[in-house]
Amino acid sequence: MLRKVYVYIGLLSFLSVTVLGQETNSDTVIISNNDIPVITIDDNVLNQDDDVSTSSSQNASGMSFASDDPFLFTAGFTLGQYKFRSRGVNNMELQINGIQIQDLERGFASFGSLGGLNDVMRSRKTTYGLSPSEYAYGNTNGTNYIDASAASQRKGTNISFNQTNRSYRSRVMVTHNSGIDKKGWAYSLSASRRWANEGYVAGTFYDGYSLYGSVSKIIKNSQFNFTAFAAPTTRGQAIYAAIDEVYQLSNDNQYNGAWGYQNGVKRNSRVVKVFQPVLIANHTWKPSDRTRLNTAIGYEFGKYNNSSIDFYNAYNPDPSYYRNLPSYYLNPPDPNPAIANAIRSEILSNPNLLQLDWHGMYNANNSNVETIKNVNGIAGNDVTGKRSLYVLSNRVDDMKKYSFNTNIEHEVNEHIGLNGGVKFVAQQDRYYKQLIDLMGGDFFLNYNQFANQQNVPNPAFSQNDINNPNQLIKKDDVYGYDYKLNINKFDAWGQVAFDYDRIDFFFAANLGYTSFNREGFMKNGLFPDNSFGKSTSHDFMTHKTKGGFTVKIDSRNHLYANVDYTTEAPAVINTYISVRTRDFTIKDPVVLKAKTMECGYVFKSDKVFVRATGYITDVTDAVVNMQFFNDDPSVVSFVNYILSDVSARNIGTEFSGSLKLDDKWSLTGLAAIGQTFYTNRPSVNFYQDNQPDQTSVERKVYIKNYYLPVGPQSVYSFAINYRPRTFWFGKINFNYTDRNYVGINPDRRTQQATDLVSPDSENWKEIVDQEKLPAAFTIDISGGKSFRLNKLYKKINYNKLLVLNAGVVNVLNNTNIKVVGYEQLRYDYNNRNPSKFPNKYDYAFGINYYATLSLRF
Amino acid sequence: MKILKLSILSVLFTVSITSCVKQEYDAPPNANSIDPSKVVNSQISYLTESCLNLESNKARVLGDSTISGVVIGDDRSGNIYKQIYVQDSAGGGIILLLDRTNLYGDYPVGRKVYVNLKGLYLVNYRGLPEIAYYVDPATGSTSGIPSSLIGDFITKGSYPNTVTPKVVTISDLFSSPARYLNTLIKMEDMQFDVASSGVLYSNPSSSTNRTIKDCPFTGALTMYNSSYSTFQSAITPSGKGSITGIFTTYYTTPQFVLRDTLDVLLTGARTCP
Repeated sequence: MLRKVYVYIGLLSFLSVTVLGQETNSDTVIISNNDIPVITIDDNVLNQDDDVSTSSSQNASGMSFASDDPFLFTAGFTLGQYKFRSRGVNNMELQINGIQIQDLERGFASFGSLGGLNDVMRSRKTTYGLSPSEYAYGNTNGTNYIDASAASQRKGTNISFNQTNRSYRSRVMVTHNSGIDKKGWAYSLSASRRWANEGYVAGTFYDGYSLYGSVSKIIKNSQFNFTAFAAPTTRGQAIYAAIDEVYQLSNDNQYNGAWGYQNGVKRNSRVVKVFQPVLIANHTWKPSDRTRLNTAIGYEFGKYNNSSIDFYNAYNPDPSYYRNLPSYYLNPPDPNPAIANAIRSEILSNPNLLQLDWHGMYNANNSNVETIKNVNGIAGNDVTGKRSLYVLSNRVDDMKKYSFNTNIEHEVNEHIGLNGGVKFVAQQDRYYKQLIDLMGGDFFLNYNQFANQQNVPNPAFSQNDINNPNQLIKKDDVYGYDYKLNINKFDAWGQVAFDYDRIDFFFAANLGYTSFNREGFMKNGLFPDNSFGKSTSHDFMTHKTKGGFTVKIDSRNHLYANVDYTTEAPAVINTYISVRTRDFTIKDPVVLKAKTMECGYVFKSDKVFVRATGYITDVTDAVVNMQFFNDDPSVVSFVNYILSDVSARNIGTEFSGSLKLDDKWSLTGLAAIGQTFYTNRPSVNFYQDNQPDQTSVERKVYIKNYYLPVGPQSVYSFAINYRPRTFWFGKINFNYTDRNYVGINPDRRTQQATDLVSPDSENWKEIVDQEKLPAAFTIDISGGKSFRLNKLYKKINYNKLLVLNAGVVNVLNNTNIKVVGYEQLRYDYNNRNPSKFPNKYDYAFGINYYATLSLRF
Repeated sequence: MKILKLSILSVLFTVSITSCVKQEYDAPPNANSIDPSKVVNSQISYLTESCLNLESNKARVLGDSTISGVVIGDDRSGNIYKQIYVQDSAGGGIILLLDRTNLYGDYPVGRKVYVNLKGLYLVNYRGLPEIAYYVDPATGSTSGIPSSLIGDFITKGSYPNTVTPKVVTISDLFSSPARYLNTLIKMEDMQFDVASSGVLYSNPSSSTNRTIKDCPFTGALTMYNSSYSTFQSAITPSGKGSITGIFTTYYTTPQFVLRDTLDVLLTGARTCP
């Protein structure tokens, strides 16, 4: 019966893998079997049409060679939309004016709050890999530091208008930077709006505003900055993935079952509404040319709402629910091809069957009159009315994050540099479900429909909150779950770097402390003693050490090598078995360990740049917590499926290069070939969500050497650039991605799932083999031109510029590129038939474009 | 220059304002007062009659005709599964097999429905008339109308409509069962048999038959209770009174199917052993 499984694979910051996301709970459920992507990549992709503006030069980098290295820009911008993540991770530490933007609970940076503010987020310093950064110890993929203060913005005004056909259609952006005046003041303002009544995918829409303001004041050798920004956005989403049968029936690889017609208008059920402003005050003090001290305090707060249809004892409204599809009648026990064909032709002749039936849901609510007894636990308080079977609700994350960071940089002499800092972040997230539309009914109930009532019925079991039994839920009421996570993280780090003519080397260390607890605001009927109030705190000490050297053979040839040993506190979501309902934890939460080594060779001359790098990361003691509906006849419940002691390896090589052919033509290219795979056979414990009995079932999963779903593990990109001196440029990219493996359902690699299936049979292979998505070849074209306005009207100042940038992505309009695939966690244990719940996929956009016209003055 | 700046800004402002993204939705009209008023050209009793002339587990394909009736039994309590009972104004009742769960959302008791019978199967399922999407001629196994195809055959009408149960005695049922099959009946002066009273409606792991009797005693009737019903764990009352439900048969054994325990009003004192 269920639904939405956001599997959160939590080798978190290392093998990032946030494959499928996390969500779900035992109570009423969320529409559709479709999983939602976890943020990192997708918001990057979203930002791509923003980042397009000019050339790659805006990705300034702190690495000595990085400004010549096409790798980061191409990897992020060009290949990111095919879900490539460099080193399978995407876990750079991101700081803005000294404040860490990463979410403490999820470990990745949400770029949502930065969207539409490209103009003022351009000043960046990037280190890649384990190279030392002056701002932070950094993550295994490096550090990205954005200086968004008014004083660092280029003086002038920029107005731009963008047309595209992706998640939004249009954007206007206005930015004005004052520059630093004689008294040392500077201010900067930026505002933008992005919108689409319908985006690239049917039924999606976009309505986003972005606001930014910063003031800087320079007094002698101090600079004070106050910076605030936010991107209040409402957007209608697409479902994340579907099985191929649905794509074929809808004849659209961008099929979106999240919408349906209501009174003739497309209504989307999955709407994200977010407003999380960030406020940062920072002070940079330079007592001498050799010393810099930056101190920052930050506050981020606000809500992230994500809507979906919730239903109680009602037929699953997901139009692509497997029981509605032809294939349901082709699988055991009673295959009947004639019925399957009849359904197929029905759906083909009536495509609305694959969209939400809002009218049907309203009608069901209008026809469901019930009497609820003892409402709010008051005897005799009976209420009769239309009890909604379907409602629309928001899953809400109401967040507060306080940050403090101080960072010092001191040059002892021309050879020795010291860096260090102290960082403290306290984050509180209150999570709950809030009803936003009763859809014609009079009320909903705060009940858990999955509570197991067989054998030993207990009326309390079905109450989500026994402090408030039989609670009627109306618009804006909170129900289902309601809890807060308090996370505190403290880090202190230091680094010493030596710089000599022939060799550079450095050492860095970081000591950390993480503590978190859960505070429940509902007393769940299944777990009355473990759901309400504050839980005990879980504390973890962590440490990181790294070091490395660069040998400068001559001014052109450099060799480098770095090593790192890191421990990381387990993610909150992987520590609690099911954080929404109770404070039970996994058996032995321990810190994750990661060993990384990288080495490389860089060649740099006027005309040629080459970098070749090898890397390896070994992760041990990782935990993976997946939640899904288990069809196993001995279970039939939501389960929390927890793999512990997971080990994995991430190994690969990167090559990037550029070659200037003459003063107009140049070539750039990259190749990244990696392997990210499990290296042991972890144990799994699973816990049912629908009964108070918390004994787990333990078994072994045989997943050694299976790949993790980290995007394409082989990518190649080659570009020809043309840049004459006449204010324009053109570029064509050829990209090839391959070895993108689907996320596995570990339980299919167990003795239970393969029992009685003969090894080497077709059935056996279908169950245990891991699918590789087809390789894809794409071409992108981009170009731009800038005009000096005084060429048109002599009176206009010389420095007024009109800039046009445009690009066409996936010129060949390849609409069959699967960028994400995963095995469903539901599995047919009765018939051991993996095709009953086939793999789900997400496809890349076909041909799409962007065009930006900006006026700078 | 000022004018240029101002005109650019005012254009941007106008563009932004006129680009509003609409997100408010009107509630659809309440469809329950709307009746599609399809032409009804057949009657359920004809189907029942024609069905009982078939051998058990045999079926025939129906022609192009339309019946109409009101749902008298749904799956809200889980005692009825993947089927609904429909009774028409002439008093005939039939089972519609639908391959979907939680049917009561669309077809609750009291919903008027129109059924276009063309191509559906009328099957004598162990003595009971049913309408199926397909019946395997070899095994007699039945398939309900698939979820995606229900809309092709069934049209929703008004809601709510009341069907008054036929008040009958045990001897009425035994003397002319065909007349009452699949219809809503009410019996007065009933009580559970001694062995069936004060026990679970159904055992937890398997569906269970209980026995009800009239008092004074003229005969006993089997009550079939599903282990998946929400009242499985409720205790059968020991008193006497009226009981309402649907009359069915299993081969030649008459049976009684409860919709919900709200229909069991055995609140009087027990007067027979």
